[in-house]
Order: sequence, then C-alpha cells, then structure tokens
Amino acid sequence: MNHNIFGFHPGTTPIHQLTGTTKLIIFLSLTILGSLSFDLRYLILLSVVAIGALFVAKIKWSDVRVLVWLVTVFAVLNLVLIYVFAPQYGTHLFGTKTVLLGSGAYALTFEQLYYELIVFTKYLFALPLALIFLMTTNPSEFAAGLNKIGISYRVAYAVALALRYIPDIQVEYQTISKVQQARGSDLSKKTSLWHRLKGAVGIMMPLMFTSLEQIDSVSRAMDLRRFGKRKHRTWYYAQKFKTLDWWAIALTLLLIGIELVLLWTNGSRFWYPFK
Amino acid sequence: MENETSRTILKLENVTFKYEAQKAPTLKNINLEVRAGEFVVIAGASGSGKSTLGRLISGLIPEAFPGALTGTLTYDGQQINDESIFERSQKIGTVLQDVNAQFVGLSVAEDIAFALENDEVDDSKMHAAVAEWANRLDLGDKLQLAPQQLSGGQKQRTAMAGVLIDESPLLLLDEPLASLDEASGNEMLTLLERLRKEQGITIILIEHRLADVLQHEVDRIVILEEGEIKQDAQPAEVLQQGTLTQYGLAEPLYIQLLRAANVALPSLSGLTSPATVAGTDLKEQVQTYLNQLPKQTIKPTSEELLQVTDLSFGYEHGQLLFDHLSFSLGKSEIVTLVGKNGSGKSTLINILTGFIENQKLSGTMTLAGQDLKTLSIKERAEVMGYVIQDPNLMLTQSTVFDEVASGLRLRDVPETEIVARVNPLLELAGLYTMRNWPTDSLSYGQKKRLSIIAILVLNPAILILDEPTAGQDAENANRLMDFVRELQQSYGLTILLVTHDLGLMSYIADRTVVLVDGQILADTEPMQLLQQPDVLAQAHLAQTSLDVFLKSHDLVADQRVYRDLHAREVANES
Amino acid sequence: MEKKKGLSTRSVVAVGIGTAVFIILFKFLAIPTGIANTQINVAQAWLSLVAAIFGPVVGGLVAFIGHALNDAISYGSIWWSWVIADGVFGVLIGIAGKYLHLADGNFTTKKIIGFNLSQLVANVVAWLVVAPLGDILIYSEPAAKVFTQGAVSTLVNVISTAILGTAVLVIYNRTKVKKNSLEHEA
Ligand SMILES: Nc1ncnc2c1ncn2[C@@H]1O[C@H](COP(=O)(O)OP(=O)(O)OP(=O)(O)O)[C@@H](O)[C@H]1O
Ligand SMILES: Nc1ncnc2c1ncn2[C@@H]1O[C@H](COP(=O)(O)OP(=O)(O)OP(=O)(O)O)[C@@H](O)[C@H]1O
Ligand SMILES: [Mg+2]
Ligand SMILES: [Mg+2]
Repeated sequence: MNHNIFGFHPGTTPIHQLTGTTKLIIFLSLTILGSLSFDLRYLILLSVVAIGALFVAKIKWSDVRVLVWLVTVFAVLNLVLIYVFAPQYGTHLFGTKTVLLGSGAYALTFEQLYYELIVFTKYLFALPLALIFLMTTNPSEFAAGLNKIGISYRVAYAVALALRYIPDIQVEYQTISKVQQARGSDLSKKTSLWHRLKGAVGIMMPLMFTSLEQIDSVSRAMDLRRFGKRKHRTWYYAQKFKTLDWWAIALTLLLIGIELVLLWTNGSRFWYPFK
Repeated sequence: MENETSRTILKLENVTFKYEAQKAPTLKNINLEVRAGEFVVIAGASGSGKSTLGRLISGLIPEAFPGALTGTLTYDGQQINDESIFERSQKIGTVLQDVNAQFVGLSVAEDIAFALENDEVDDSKMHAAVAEWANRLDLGDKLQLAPQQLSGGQKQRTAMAGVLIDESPLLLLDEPLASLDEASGNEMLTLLERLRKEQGITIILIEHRLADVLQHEVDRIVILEEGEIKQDAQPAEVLQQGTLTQYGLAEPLYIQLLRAANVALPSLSGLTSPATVAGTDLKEQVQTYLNQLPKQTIKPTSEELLQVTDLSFGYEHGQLLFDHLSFSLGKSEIVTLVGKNGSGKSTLINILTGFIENQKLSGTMTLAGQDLKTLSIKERAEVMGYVIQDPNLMLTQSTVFDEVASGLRLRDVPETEIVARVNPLLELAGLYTMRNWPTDSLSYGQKKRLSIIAILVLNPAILILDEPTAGQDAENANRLMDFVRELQQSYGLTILLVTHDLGLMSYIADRTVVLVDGQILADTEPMQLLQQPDVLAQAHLAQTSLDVFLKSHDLVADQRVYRDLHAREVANES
Repeated sequence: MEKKKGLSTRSVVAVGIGTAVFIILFKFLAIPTGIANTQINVAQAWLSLVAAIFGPVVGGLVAFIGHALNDAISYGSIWWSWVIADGVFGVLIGIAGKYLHLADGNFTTKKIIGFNLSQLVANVVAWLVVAPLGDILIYSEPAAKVFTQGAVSTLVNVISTAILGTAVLVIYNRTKVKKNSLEHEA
C-alpha cells in the first residue's frame, strides 16, 4: 500500500534539500504564472526550467510513467475538444486567418494550431512541476509550509489531517466495499443503475458513520492535547531557510520579473509574432 | 500499603451523569478517591459506563459530550467541574480507546510533539523532548514512520509518548490493551509500572483483561455495574471474594481452578500471581479435582472441507508475506488461528474470502473440491460467513434490528420469518432491548456482537471470526462463544477463529494453527501448543495462568479442565 | 470556560477527514451512468452532507482542498477554475444547511424540497457560471467549449445530488437521536 499519497520519495538532491515552504512558494508562483501567460517563448522557458529540475531531482521514469501517460491522454482530449467546439478560436484571438487545410467552419488554420500549441505547452510544463513538488516534499513539511506562507494554522493542520487519514480511509473503503459484496450487494457494471446506486449508498453509510465518529474522536483527542489553544503554533517540521532556499526564491522572482516585462512589452497575455 | 498516607489527588463525590440523548443517567452517584502515585484499575462489563467515567475525569464531559452532571470533582483539593479541557489536560493526560484517533500526526515524531506544538514550545526544546520520550518508550528509530507503517503496539506506545510528554501527574488510559497481542500488552503494562516507579505518576487504567493486569502491581480495582461502583478493593480481596464473574468479568483461570477444587482462597498467600500462590495441601486438593473430571472423548478426524496448498502472496512487489503456505479446515472443526500482531492472520482470511484479489496470489485453494478462485466474493460468502475485526465497517443500517435483518432482506426472505429469526439472535447477544436504537449509539462491544449475529443469521457452513472477543467483557464473550459452539454441535458448522486469547483457544479449539510472520510455526492441538514455550514466545503468546500454576506445582492437565472451568463460569454468571 | 476563537477543533478535523473521504470517494466510487464519460459523482453527495452538518466554511474548504489535492494527485496539475467552483458549491450548500437546518434530526418533506432547490441553484452557480467564467478568464479557453462542459457537469451533479445527496441526508437524520429518547424496550 502506498503510505503517502503524495508519492514522496526521500532523497538528497538540492531540490530535496529545499524547505517545504520554498517549494510551495515556487510551485504556486510558477503554476499561476504558467496559467496566466500565453507567450510561447515564456512557456517554453518555464518548460525548460521545469524539465531541468526534474533531472536535478533525479526522478525516475518508472515512478511517473503512468501519470505522464494519463495526463498526455487528458491533454490531447482537451485539445480535440477545443477544436470541436471552437475551431476558429485562434483566428478570433489573433485577428488573422491563415487556412492550411480544408474549408468552412472546420477549416484548419495556422492560428488555431498556434493556440493549441500554447495550450499544450501549458500542460507540458505544469506536469513536471507538480511531479517535483509531490515527490520531493515531505507531507509534514507541506503543512508547516502552508502555515508559513500565511495560511491559518488551523487550515494548514486540516490539510495535514487529510493526508494523515487518506490511507486509513482508503483501507476502510476497500474493506467496506468487500463486506458489502459478501453480503450480497452488487456494484459491478453488470447490474442496473438502480442497483448500483443502492450499492453506493450501502458503502456510503458505514463510511459516513465511521468518518463522522472519527471526526468526533479525533477532535476530542486533539482537544485533550490543546490544539487551538493559542493564536499560533510551532511545527516540529518547520525548517529554517538556507542559502539554497534564497537562491531558489531569487530565481523565481527573476521569472516573475520576466513575465511582468513580457506582459508590458506585449501589451496583453498573448504574444503573436506572425501578423 | 505504601501509598496509604499520601495525599488525595482526584476525588469524585456523588457524581451523577446523564447523556443528553439518554433517558436515564449512565453514571449514578459515583464516589471515588484516588491518591497520588496509585495504580487504579476500573473494570466492568461492556456498557457499564467505564468510558463515561473516563470522559468525566478527562474533562470531555461535559465539554464534548453534553448532558446533565451533578456532584463534585476535585483535583488536588480544587473543584474542577467547570474547568476547560485545555486546563485539565495539563493535570490529567488521557489516552483514548481508539488509537487511530489518538494518533493524529503524519509521523511518530509529529504525534509525540503535538501537544508541545500547540503550546508553542520552540524548536530545540521540542526536538529534545521528543527525542527523550521516544527513547524512553523505545521508539527512537521509528521517528520518521507513518502510522500505517507501525504495529498495533508501536502505535499504542506513540500515543502514550504523545501524552506523557506533557508530564502531567495523572495518566488515564481507556482499554489500551484491547487489540494487542499478549506480549505487547504485557510490555505496555510493564511500561506503566516503570513510569509509576520512576516518575511517581498516578495511573487510572480502564481495562477488561483483568487476568493480564493482575500480574502487575495494581493497588486497587474499582468495579462498575450499570453505572454504579459495586466494589472498590485491593486485588487480592477482589479475588478472594470471587465477585468478578458476578459483574460480568473474567476471573483469572488459576483462580477458577482453585475455586473449582474447593480451596479456601483466604488461606493462601501470594494469591495475585499464579506462580507465587501457595498454601498447605494446595497441590493435593487440586489433584483431587483433576482426578474426578470425566474422560475426554476423542474427536474423530473429519473430512477436509477447505484446502489451501502452496499459497504465495505479498502486498509489496517482490516481498512475500506467505511463501508456499499450506493449510486446511476439516468439516465441523473449530480451529483457532493465533500469532503475534502483523503475522498475516487477517490477510490469510481476506485471501480465503476473496477480499484480496486472485491475480496477486499463486497456489491452489479448494472448497469441498471446488476451486475457490472461480468463485466471486458473494458466492464464497454463501458458504463462508466472515465477521471482520472492526465492527464499525460492517454496520450499514440505521437501527440494530435492521442491521441483522439486512442480509435476509437482500435475499427476499418474508418479513414474518425475518422477525422470527432475528429476535432470538438479538436476545442472545443481549441487544434485544436496544433493537430500535441507532447502531451508532452502541458501545464497541455491543457493535461487535451485532456484527457477529448479522452474519450468523444467514446460516453459513463455515464461520470465520476475526478477534470476536477483543474489547468484549467475559460474560458476553462466553455467551457468544457458547452459542458458536452450539451451532457447531447441532449443525456441524466449521469455525475458524482468530484470537490472541489462549484461554479461549484452550477450551474451544479442536486444533490450533500458529502463524508468525507469514509462516505456520505449528498446527496442532491446543494442549500440545501450551507445552511448546519456544513457539509461544515466537508467537508473542503467553502461557495461560492455569498452565503457569499447574507447572509450578508439577501437575498436568488437558482440555477437560479448561472446558469444565468454562462451564462452571458460565453457570455462575446466569 | 474560555471562548475559543477561529475555526473550532471539530471544524478543523471535519475539514481534514471530510477531505480525505471526499478524495477517496472521488477516486474510487464513481458510478458510470451508461452514457459515455459521464459518471454519477458520489463525492458530491458526501460534500452536501458535510456542508449541511458543519456549515459553509467547512463545506467550502472540503470542496476546495479536496478538489485541489485530487487534481494534483490524479492529473499532476490543478485546474483552479473548477477547484474554485467546487468551493463555491460547498459554501452555498453550507449556507442552505444552516438556514434550512438540514441536519437537526428532523428531515421533513419540506426540507427535502428546500435542499433540492438549493442544490440546484448551487450547482448552476458553480458549474454553469463560476467554472466556465474561470476557464475563460484564467485559461482563455473558448466559451462554446467551456459552457458545454459546464452544462453537462451541472446536469450530472444536479441529478447525483438529488438522488444520493438526498438519500444520505435522509439516513443521517434518521439516526440522529432526539433528546431523552433512548431507553431499553421490553
Ligand atoms: N455519546 C453517547 N450518547 C448517548 N449514550 C451513550 C454515549 N456514549 C455511551 N453511551 C451509553 O452509555 C452506556 C455506557 O457506555 P460506555 O461507553 O461508558 O461503556 P463502557 O463500559 O466503556 O463499555 P465498553 O467496554 O464496551 O467500551 C452505554 O449503554 C452506551 O450506550
Ligand atoms: N493493505 C495492506 N497493504 C500492505 N501491507 C499490509 C496491508 N494489510 C496488512 N499489511 C501488512 O501485512 C502484514 C500482515 O498483516 P495482518 O493484518 O494480516 O496481520 P494480523 O496477523 O491480522 O495482525 P493483528 O493481530 O494485529 O490483527 C503486516 O506486516 C501488515 O503491516
Ligand atoms: Mg469503553
Ligand atoms: Mg488482524
């Protein structure tokens, strides 16, 4: 069984050595930058940084293969959907129409291809970034990091609790579903939708009651150890920033700076040199 | 006793408490005094109000459990009725019944540090304190591990460390031994004893397993029945009076033996331990009793019903838990499966019942000649009724009656027949008067019984029970096990029972299988197993107190003694 | 007794464990409807229950954190517009739960109707307004695509919540015992 859903693999690379807080800041700023920008040059730069970091973190292909395929399929599906619903969206965005193939509403234009390439690059860079974050961040440091970037410690601890109880609840879920099957309820695709719904309710019930009861008993246990007594709390896994962290943050600031300059010079989120 | 003169640390005077949802009070007129440095055990049948009393002491009542509270609680001479949980937690450290709720950290270190984090203790001080308590509780090399990677005993110790780190003078524990194997349970008790000696901590322990507890230095036993304190005395006194059975608690086996042999208990010395108990003519009296037992009827070996050969399985890739394991169940046999925590007992059952998928395992499994692998979970369940360890995961209906009826309803049994089949079972499990209660207002022991009868009502040919008596009081456990044995005798039911309780094994089992770290160490008769101390030690099992007593007096006994004592105990209860 | 500030411990735990259950249901218990690529979403029913019991703050946080974590784990990237939309849904149901008293043990027909009207509104606001607008503003996606996706999601979620959400609330309320009601019967 996977003991942490984040898929955290301990290691000693420079990226592993960064504090959880630093990684959280970098992850959040870069994903936001990547979502906002439609400048192909910038997105390629981000992709290079992200893929480079993937190598620095020494992440093994075998550990990420499944996810990469899944995301690729998802990305391609999304690109197709965009084409199906808005085949001339690129033209609409960039104001020119260069037909490459076919005619009519579904004519393939250069502008559309360019737009979809941008969207594809966005996926391309987001995935390695998330993989690095998930696989090199100790979940415990993640909660401490959330608190450090200004999120209330109660919410940060709620996230820690979610990570703590996901494996337990997964085991509970599987057990309940097996017990239900043994008692005679059928969840497979073979039965009617109505039976499947009843089966789902049969699983929901014990899961709901145990979880609600668990909420009560866990909060009692936490009360008994004075959670929420003070305005702040300290964290066992809080880490001090080291030189490496400052360098990483400086690099992030540089990337933010570049994006601001590009936004300024382009006059919009888009960059289209082929007018 | 040395503590007799020390000061009173906790005092309850005329305390009565009624839960908001209940009509009648759960605790009635409780008067209890605990002195500093004492080790007090609170015992009582399931549902007698032990946990409720614990909540009252820890301050969860009335803050987390609303209700009506009268009377006064004082701590060190100060009234604490209205003190918040936070304030009270500095004085009284509490370890709750459910370890998985108690262990809130993502790793051992964080959980131990939890209270300090909340008190804003700074980094270096916190790390030092965590390291110190982890070492004291032998968790030094486990600091980075997640709760899912720990054994039951290790989790329990982490929970203790997380409370002890507060250094509060009073420690309250609610059934910390319920799901631990014998060795881990004893280790816990030894640890408590040590803490009390080294730090002078006062300990209040809520526990069913008196036989284990009494092997340690307990000052007092407080017995609850239906919310009232029925007895508050020293262990030796309680044993002499023989009131335990009357209150639904298990008397240690050797005491039962002495009573059966008509030995006058007050005349004996060292009564609280089977190894030290001594008296004139003791051996002769016991011998006379043993001699008059009826001859044992040898059970013929039965035809094989379920057969497992060369089973291999591992959770983690490349790591085998079972490596070519073979095992069988005969028709109408009662077999116990014993072994230390994490040995693979539950896993083996999950494989048999189809809860673990076929693809991952190799080997053959047949049920009455039919290949098990071709049967679905549901088809296997028609023959093998499986009651899992945690009753909460089995309860799907909103009331007690509906829960038992649900399997029958899914099979379209007419409602009148359902009532006729369900009610006697509810009666048997002592749940009839609560038949219209929501299942989630039952105590753990009550839920466990409910989950068992919910399966029994379907009349399976093989019944598989995973730790049916854990967290149960003796009276209910006995009733249930007798019922199970009756079924076996009248319908030829085959029973596979996972347990840590060798006393139970000794009277009920025809055969016992010892599983340790995925390997079968022994497959033999229960009495034979008791003669193999090395196997017992590897399986983290302890000899029964009866066996210890007999050995130290050079006596030998067989299953007849266990069965006779059991029959006497049951007769005493009703 | 001192007054506690901020989110209560019970709410914090409700967010934590509520999120864990949400993610597990999301990952494991989706019921195919028979129509391609559309599934009845059981997690949304759990969300309705948690929001109804613990209120809008907990409801919103469970949806937001649960959806974001699930995205990160399953797809490697977080689709913020839908995460925010789910959070909005949780908050709206939580508000409805507070005003309609959906979890006080007395779930009347009137409340069933009230719950379903509010879940209809909440789903429309979340999936037909917030999510597509977010897609357009944040990701600059074509309107035709995102509104079609939004409409499909709204429909599926309204139906899932109407069936499973209502069922779960009915059962939950049935087990909530009334004061002074438990007694042994002969
Ligand atoms: N929160 C609650 N609301 C209403 N009734 C309760 C509550 N908790 C316990 N009770 C009732 O109070 C009685 C005593 O329960 P308690 O949990 O104290 O028993 P116990 O002695 O600890 O039992 P066990 O050994 O099974 O843990 C039971 O009948 C139970 O139904
Ligand atoms: N779902 C799982 N995934 C991975 N490993 C598991 C899983 N379930 C159990 N294990 C491991 O397999 C081993 C056997 O566990 P199992 O639960 O079968 O033991 P057990 O004998 O029933 O113990 P106990 O007496 O504590 O109930 C343990 O080391 C356990 O950590
Ligand atoms: Mg209890
Ligand atoms: Mg087990």
